[in-house]
Amino acid sequence: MRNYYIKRIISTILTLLLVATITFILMRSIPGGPFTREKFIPDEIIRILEEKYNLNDPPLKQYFDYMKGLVTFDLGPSFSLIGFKVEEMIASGFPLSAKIGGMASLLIIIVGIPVGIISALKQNRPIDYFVMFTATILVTVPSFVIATLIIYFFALRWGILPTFGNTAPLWYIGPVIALSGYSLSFVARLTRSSMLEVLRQDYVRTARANGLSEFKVIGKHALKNALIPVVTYIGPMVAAILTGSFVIEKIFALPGIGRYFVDSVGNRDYTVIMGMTVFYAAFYIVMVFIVDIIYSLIDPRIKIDG
Amino acid sequence: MKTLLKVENLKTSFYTHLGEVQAVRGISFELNEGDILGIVGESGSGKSVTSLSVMGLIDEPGVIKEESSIVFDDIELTELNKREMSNLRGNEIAMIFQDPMTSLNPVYSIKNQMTEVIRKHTNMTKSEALERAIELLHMVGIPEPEIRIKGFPHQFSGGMRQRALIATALSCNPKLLIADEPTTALDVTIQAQILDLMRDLQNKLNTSIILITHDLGVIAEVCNKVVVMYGGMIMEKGTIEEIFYKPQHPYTKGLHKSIPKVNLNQKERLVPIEGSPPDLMAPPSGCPFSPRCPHAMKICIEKASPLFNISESQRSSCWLHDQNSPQVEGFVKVKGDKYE
Repeated sequence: MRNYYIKRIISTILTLLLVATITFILMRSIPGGPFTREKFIPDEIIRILEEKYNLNDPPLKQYFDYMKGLVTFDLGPSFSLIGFKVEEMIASGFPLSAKIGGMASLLIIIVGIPVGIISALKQNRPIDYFVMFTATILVTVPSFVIATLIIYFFALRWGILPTFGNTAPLWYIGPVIALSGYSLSFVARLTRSSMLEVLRQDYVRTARANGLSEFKVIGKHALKNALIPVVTYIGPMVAAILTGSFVIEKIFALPGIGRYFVDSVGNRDYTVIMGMTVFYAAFYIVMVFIVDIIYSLIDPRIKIDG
Repeated sequence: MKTLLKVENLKTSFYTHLGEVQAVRGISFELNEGDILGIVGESGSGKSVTSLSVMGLIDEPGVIKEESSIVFDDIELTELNKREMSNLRGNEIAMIFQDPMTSLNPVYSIKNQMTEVIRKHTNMTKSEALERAIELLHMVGIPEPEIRIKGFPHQFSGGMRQRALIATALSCNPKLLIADEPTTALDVTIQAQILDLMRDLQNKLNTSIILITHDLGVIAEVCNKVVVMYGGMIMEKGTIEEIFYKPQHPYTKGLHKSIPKVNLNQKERLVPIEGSPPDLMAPPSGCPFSPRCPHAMKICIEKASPLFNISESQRSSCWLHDQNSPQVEGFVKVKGDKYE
């Protein structure tokens, strides 16, 4: 057990170093730089700027300097948001993104799984058709369309919800629904198909033959098995949702982390791209690790050991 | 001896997209207390559907038809609601299935799965139920049951899983145990052990057993009564001696010819039954076996034969037993209207 954790931590560190290295190389390979603008900037100014941010050092030195910073959690200054350090940007944007993402994840789990189960139990009945039809629409319609529709109808036409701002609890409804739409439908569909598969298994028939109530047959014997593939999807999904969505944050005018990330790519803001990528990777690895632990709790055939 | 189970005119159909599949087409049989009844037949003969009908485990799109009657211990099972039926299942009537590898839930321990059933049907506390479960595992021959009971299904071999399933099925001292091909998925040595175990338990607990199989050898080993099914109908039934030494129906006779015999002095060819089983979507209107029967007559194709009383216990569904049919060697003529 202890060996397993040590191995896991070592592999996490190696993965993060690899992610940082690859991002570093890829970023320097794409044309343009942090100070390339449509407007003409005199060479002299660019030279001074590059000197200020050590961009005229040999690439290898830049790489090692960055790695040194990374190890000490110093992610460097942003090139476009003057006066901000990357870790400060993460600290300012992540809490809000995580808050909305957390609520969206909760909504996905609380609604998606039960809806999938009900749909499976009522297979080929009207309620099943309704759920699957709705789920298909929500999977295919992009989140920005959902967000726009919410703003148009609920905010503009009916005036029930505010269009932006994050002061009242009511305000969260729009972004959370827009953010969870796709995954919610996906989880519902996944739970349904997984449940249908499990309901055909021999051990479900055994449970019925032993006289267990339908509630126990479904809620205990079928459910735990049906959740295994769902957990696989939910882990990385939570990581993706918590780290913010550029589209949603843009539409609802939220100061979240997703916006910084996408803006930084356009600006060739090297340090922000690097910092966000490593942060996202670390978060993702942690979620996968949690999924692995949940796995071993659900399925005794999966054992955690070195 | 008291009649424990009386199945009368059981008809079970599945309404699929392609039409009605008549899996069981009006069968009747009885089981006394202490009997071990073998139901034998090839795949698709309706033997499993018969047992699932008795258990009330026929799922959509399957339907047990109105005119059917299943009386167990003086209770008409077809009239019970879901709740009453589930109180009976696992308690008075228990069932074990073909494939022990997949019949236990992989994510729960043996202890969890056994005590759950015991506590459902009794008022035992957790620790009493655990004690009972250990005692049952001991009875079915699992070594160190106190330790093994904490294990999960994947830590058990196929034979041990079937033992655990038998132990669970017997946990509430059922009056009737239905075993649907309990040894088919096991290798031969384990098969013999499981059959021995079932026979032992039957002696000890006096549970009646219905053993469903396509293996006549298994039937010969444990049963005292046999029902031979084909195409959803009963072809012949009788005591084990009658079915094995004085088979009357052409299908039963055909089955006997297709069993290899250990006979060192003589080389003998096995005689298969030509043809294939009937399509239950559109079953023949006459005797289901008539297309494959070497003795088939005109009436066989038009009308199914009633069951003729060959003896007190033996019945055979073949027109050759009728007074008016031609004399064929090996077929007893039954006088008068002795059929049911």
